[in-house]
Amino acid sequence: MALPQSEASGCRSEIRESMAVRNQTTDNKQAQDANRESLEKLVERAQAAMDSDRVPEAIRLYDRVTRLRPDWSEGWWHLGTLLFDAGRFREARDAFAHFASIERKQPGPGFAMIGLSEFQLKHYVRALQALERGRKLGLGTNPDFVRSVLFHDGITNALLGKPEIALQRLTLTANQIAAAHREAPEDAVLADLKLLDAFGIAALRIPKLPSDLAALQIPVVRLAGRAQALIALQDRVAAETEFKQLLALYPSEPGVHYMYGVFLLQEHPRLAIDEFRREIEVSPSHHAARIQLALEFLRTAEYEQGLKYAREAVGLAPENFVAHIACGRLWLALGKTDRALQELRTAVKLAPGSPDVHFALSQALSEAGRNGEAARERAEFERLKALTDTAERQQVPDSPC
Amino acid sequence: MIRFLLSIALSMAAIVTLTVTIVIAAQADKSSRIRFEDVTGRSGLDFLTDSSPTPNKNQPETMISGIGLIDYDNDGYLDIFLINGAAIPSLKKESPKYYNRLFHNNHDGTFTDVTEKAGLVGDGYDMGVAIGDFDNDGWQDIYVASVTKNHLYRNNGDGTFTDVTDKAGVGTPIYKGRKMWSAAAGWLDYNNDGKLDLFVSNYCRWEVNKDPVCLSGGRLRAYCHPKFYEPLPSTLYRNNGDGTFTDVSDETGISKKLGKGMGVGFNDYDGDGFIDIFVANDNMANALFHNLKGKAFEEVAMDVGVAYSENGKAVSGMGAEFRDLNNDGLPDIWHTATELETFPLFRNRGKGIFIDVTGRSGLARPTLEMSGWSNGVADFDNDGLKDLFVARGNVLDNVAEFTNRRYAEPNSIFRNLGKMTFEDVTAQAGPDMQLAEPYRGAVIGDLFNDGHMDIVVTVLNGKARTLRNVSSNANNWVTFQLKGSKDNRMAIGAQLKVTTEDGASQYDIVSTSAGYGASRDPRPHFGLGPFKIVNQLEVRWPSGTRQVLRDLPANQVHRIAEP
Repeated sequence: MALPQSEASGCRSEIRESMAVRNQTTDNKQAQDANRESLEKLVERAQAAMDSDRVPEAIRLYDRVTRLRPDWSEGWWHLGTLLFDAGRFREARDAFAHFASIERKQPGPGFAMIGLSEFQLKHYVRALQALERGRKLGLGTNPDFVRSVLFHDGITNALLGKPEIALQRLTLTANQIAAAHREAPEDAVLADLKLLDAFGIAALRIPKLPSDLAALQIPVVRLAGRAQALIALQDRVAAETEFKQLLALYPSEPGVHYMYGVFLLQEHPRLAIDEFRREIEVSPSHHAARIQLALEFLRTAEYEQGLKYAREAVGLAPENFVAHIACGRLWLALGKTDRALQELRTAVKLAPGSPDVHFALSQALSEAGRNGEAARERAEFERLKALTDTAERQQVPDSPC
Repeated sequence: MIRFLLSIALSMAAIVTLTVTIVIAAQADKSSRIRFEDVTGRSGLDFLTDSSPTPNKNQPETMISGIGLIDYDNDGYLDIFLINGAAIPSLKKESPKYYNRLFHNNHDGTFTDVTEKAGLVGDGYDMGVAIGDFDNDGWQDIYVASVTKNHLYRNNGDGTFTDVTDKAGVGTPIYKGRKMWSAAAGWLDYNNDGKLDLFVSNYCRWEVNKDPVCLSGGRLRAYCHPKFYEPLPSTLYRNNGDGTFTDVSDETGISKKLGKGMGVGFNDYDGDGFIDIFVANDNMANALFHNLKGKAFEEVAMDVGVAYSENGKAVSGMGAEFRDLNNDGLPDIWHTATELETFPLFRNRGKGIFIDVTGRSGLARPTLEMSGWSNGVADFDNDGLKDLFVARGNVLDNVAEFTNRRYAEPNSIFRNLGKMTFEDVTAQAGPDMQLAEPYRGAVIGDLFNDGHMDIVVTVLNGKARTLRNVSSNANNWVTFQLKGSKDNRMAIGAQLKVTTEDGASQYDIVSTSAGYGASRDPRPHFGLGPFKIVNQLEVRWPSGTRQVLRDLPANQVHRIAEP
């Protein structure tokens, strides 16, 4: 899963260009430095070594340069990328950490590279934290780099049991590929087998990396991935065709009916309900299918039915805050405000940073006539929503394509 | 207004209202269903909305809606004014196919196009319309909200109108140095000074042929999601009483709130005697501007519970209605949205709090798959309960090419079953109600003065349709035409309470603002079920004057002058 040379190099040159003007100023300020001439020569030699792919020499020279000028972020960036390309991920991570600590203008790519390095070191939790931080701070405009970061963010989320977030990141990845291949966007996306496998894993909710799939799993995962990729490209008609094949070939494979149910929710919610129920037959402990059923019955005001599934979901996944939200909202709809408040307070404890839980709790408090507390929850909802909105605006541009 | 509402609350009438409402519903004649018949063919209403659709997918192309019902010649019958687009990229009405059109009601079910004589062809890419007598001369005037310059047309009283936009100063609401795209507008008297003020709902920053490229299905260019456009503030113009207006958006706090404004509704949600303003925003939190005694506004949508749908998400707010739907004297809010969002219904629980009852009302399930535009509220079967209508159609003209959805959708009617519950009765409303089209505009009014509320709808790049209400039953009705003297001439903002012999009451407001870009029949209409007498009509005029009339016979239009 090494970052391709071209991707790292692309990012390397992009950062270099963006820093050029700023560094000219910095250099001017250091005009009186007695070591200036020798340092500049060292930088030139390091640059030349890097440009001619003399990687060990370039690493050695950039290591010397960064020791002499520890506040020169560009040098740390080059050192990090060279170490990364050389497979020295621990050292690369440390170099990028130094870069991120001193780079004020564009630290996002540094965090993303920390994440990619941690990923290579199999430190997946730390990798995800760094990738997410980099994504929120901005990844720059190099499409290959952005795509690679989003892809790794997606597969790490899937591995760590966050398939919904994984699908969001992978959808952005697919959109990036489509935007880069305007002449045949679908073909380009469907030709990327790694991406298809990643989509399939997330859609089927398999907590694995694509590289860890057993050979027997690959056909179903890839077919599921094709369907999910087409959804990402908003070609629902083509996705439907893939789903027909998937269901015909793998009717008893865990995750398939759930995935199809999620697809159907948009246009055929009643059929989606059937699929979620089938998924529960195939996978009796599938809490996500129950949450979907609960939310769908909430939407259609079939509260008793919804509550049954919500309570089952809470029993199966007591740490899942969405299950508690669904349960709380259903209790509220049934007029059981106290029960609703109980569930929604649990949801707030589990996910205090989620705007949705505070909104739901504010609704219940309002219904209970506890207007002061409701106002506080509304304020918290608005505060968190503003943060979420800001983070979304700062992340990779949400391509309209 | 406080006293008015308190008197309701303390008189026990409100306590028994709910019970009696059920009795009314039970006693009302349900022998026939709500039915509509398309009478366009024989009516002479020949109008085609032309939005100039282009491959560039300019956002306004999918959004033209406006229809206004106006009795421009004071003959007692509603005439119809329809809004149209323009050529792209010029955004000018380069040929008659883009003209706005005024159709005179001939009282016999037919209409005559009088546009050119009236001087109302327009000149730009128009969106919505608001009817109001801004100069209190007894002749209803027209305001047109537009992507380009907005227009105010003064009714000369002789079948012609004069464009007084520039003198009035209401043509170019500005934000960051550029005229805003105005989607809808409405007339209200926000400071109760007897002069109609003007509220304009502005949509988003946009320039022709500069929309982002949004691909759907991985390959097809489609109209972009609103999130790709910057929001705008709304505009409030205060009527100076001399034919000019002052933009008071900043001084009243209206401009503080940015949104992507579409439908506008006016009512007094907290009973303080000052009209509040609801704006349905497209994919942003809705706005509810609470009127601070006619001096300023505070935006309270989040605080009162109408900013978001019940899952805390902003939906594609389109048309808006702000009227009492459950006969408790408290105005509720219902607005439309697009597919997978449902059409949110907020019940006013009193004390300044709304509760989202979309699911409980029975509206969630049927509206989940619908894309709604303009909407309206009226008692279509005269059973004493206001029903709902929505004009439907997908936003994307090419949606069928990458999903299983259709661009054309049938309109829908939801019958009020009481207790704030509704049933989709479209399938029983006649074959003409089943026709799927890309509908946009809708307006409600009694075109034939027969006590049945009719509907006019527009079709994007298709022909407008007149849907005559042919529900036949034995239910009675009453309509009131109010004439202000101290207050504005059309009595906009007056609150009516109608009580029948069983003690049950119904409520409505005089307001032309409804739906999306629409201007409805200004005459409040009430279904009376089996009752042939209105025992008491109570009018609370905007100035605070309370007027009570008793024993008014049903099945006629009563003209009420301000005392």
